[in-house]
Amino acid sequence: MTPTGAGMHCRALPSFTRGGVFVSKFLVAILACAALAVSACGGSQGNNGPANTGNTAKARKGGKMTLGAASGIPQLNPAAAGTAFEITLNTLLWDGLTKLDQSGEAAPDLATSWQASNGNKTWTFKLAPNLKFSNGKALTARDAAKSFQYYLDPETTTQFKQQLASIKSAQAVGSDQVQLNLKTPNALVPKLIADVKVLDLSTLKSINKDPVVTGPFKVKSFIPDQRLTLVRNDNFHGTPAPLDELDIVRASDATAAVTSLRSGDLDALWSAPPSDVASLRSQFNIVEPKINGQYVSWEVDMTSPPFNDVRARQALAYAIDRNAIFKAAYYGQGDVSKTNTPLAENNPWFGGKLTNYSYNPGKAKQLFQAAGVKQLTWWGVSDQYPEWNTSAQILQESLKKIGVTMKIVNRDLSTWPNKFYPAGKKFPGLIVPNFQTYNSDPSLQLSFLLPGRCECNWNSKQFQATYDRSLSISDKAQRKAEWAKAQELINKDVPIYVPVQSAVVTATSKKMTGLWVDASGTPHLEQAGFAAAA
Amino acid sequence: MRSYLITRVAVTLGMLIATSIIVFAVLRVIPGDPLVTRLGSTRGVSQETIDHLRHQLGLDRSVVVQYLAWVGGIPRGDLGKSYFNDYPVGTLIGQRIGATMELTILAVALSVLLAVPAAVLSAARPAGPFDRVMSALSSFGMAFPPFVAAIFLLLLFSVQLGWLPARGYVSLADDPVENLRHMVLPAISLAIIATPLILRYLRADLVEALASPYIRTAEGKGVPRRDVILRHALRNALLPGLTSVGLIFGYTVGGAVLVEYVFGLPGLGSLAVESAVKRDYAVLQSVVLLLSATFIVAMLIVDILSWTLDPRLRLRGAHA
Repeated sequence: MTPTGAGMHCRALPSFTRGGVFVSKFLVAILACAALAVSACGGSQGNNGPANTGNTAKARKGGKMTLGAASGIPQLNPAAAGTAFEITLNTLLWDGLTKLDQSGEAAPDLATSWQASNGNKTWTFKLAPNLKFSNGKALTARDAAKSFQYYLDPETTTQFKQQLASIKSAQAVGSDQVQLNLKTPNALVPKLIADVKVLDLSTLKSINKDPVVTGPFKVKSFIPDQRLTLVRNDNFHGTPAPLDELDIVRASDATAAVTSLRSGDLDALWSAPPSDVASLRSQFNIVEPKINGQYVSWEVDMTSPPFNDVRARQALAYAIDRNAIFKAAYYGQGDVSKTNTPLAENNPWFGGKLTNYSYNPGKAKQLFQAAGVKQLTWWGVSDQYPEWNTSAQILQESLKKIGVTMKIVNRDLSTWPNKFYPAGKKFPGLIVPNFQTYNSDPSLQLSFLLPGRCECNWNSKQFQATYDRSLSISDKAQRKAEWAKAQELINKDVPIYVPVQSAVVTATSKKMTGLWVDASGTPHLEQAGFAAAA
Repeated sequence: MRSYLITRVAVTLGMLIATSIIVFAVLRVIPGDPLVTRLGSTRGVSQETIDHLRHQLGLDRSVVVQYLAWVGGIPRGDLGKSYFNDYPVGTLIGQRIGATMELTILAVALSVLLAVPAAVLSAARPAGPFDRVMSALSSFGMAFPPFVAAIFLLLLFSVQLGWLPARGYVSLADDPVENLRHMVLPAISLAIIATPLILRYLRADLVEALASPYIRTAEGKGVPRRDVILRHALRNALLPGLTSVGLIFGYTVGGAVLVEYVFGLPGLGSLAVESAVKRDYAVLQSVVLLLSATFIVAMLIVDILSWTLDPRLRLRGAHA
């Protein structure tokens, strides 16, 4: 878990989960599958809730828009996407069998309909007719199946593997159907596969230079980490993009990015710094998730002293002045997590009998003394994340009051992870700040805590079993009860610290319209453009 | 002439080899792992995956083998591939070199335009009011970090007045006017480094030239003061000034790294910074070597030019 490059986001793993929509030409099939759609996919009310969309006026055709960020796009392979900003390209350049709509539900993309059988162990997706890649080549079920095989291949390093863990194999059935065979029942497949993009694997070697794409845009030019220029893809199967051209550029840092937005060089800025959001509101549209899918995660090593003792972990949870951190470090952007769990309280899946870990120095002192903890170290990053430093200072003061000293050590971004990454390393006594970015479904938000993923080294079989059981349940109410159990385990065992769920904000000029963000804060510009009057 | 050339070229080659070794070694000594940086945002990656990728990229080979593989490819134009996107390093450099060259040329041209008249006016009346003002300004300019100048210019002309873009680059071929608009502020920022250097070198050479016997002879023959300065003193003062070109070029390229970063110009400087942050050695070592080689070769050309144009140097060489 470390940030790649100088970008704002260390961990940008937008995985999305939401209810699937069963679309079929045949009434019988619709009726037969309606119940499945509601139950298997969690209902269409939306786990994430509708996203904030800023301007909603229809965009006029034409124009060139510039989207900026303090991080760059280092490469174009959607499977290899590592940072949050790269995920922006997932819906601009690529299509999957399914996609996520604004309410966070699975919607048809290259597939027009899908059906589960064999107790949610086999999923069949039917492709839309006459699909083409950007180079005019026909897109077939074979291409889709091969793309799944590519994502599942052990040689392919992709952060989406966890979402696909239940898939055993993928195969084309005829020319227009793709069948996914699962190892274990999974009711959320249409949501979990939205990040698998269909690629022309015969052109994989040139994917960073001249990618053959399926999305509403195609690549005109690409300078890694600096500038990516996209133009409308005339072979796109869906509604054509209003914009003629979309420039995605990198600013040297967050301050430069805000300056560029203010000076009019950028039409939109992704991940505006929390400290600037309030001042930007008067001049720009602020587009932010209704439910924050990004959560701050401080990690400790649960396999070595002192944090192999649950009392020490709970003590630290009580020692965090969450409100102070929320106000001073995050400028009030996001939500305070009183129960120290990844899901925000307004997330429809939030629940369970959860202990309230609001700031309680007395309880923290008592537990720290019982666990014999006197000294800790904050292992952070210099420069890149000012909010981490502020948080560290607040925590240091809180700990000092109860007789625990905490040394603050900040390292360069490229050397910082060596102490704790990948999962399995021991880092006794260190508190490692980080953040996780997901869509808001618990199947994604909580997946970070599965064995082998979190550097906290929480290897809870009980949590894994609860997680797996949740995935297999089609009934929404029953699944919610199971997710509540998973949250109770996290709440009790305290494998990570979640002081806040932070908001990933996109600021746009007033003339922009059609841009929306999902729960992970990823901006969607497929139908973005300039308002008719602009 | 031939022996001088052979000696000078041999020294240059030796410097290039030494530079490549130093660059390569320094990058391996500094802490950080490109693979951890590359995979860091990918959850659930095992140590085996990291080791597998390390093998694929050849990072598990000995440092000597890696060095030889790198320098062995240079004569063939193969500088390796980026660890982060498989782009050939040559292609990445090719994408960026245009902006850096344009910025450097514009900055040096602007500096010459400002520095030459100022040096002439200063040297015409040494210790006069104008000379004193220029001396103070050049001291200030030399001490002023280019990124500070860049930020001031950016805040004034982009944010406050909105006259010029704050960031980005449009190629000259795409739109010459927009290109110029995007380059004005970076070129001025960079010229703030180069102008005082040129001014100081040229003023000193002019003052020395104006004190020479041939100037007194010209003045005694009734040549107007203006012609004495421009036709006799300036022409002779420019020759020793040639040697400072390499130095000025080095300063300018060094400053370009920061200026490019501030203005978001996709040049070699920003490529170097990005690669350094990510520990993309494959790219960084080639960029640093290229910038160093440019400086070394520029010095070689300047030396050869000076030797060719200045008979005194040839004479000294012959005597030696």
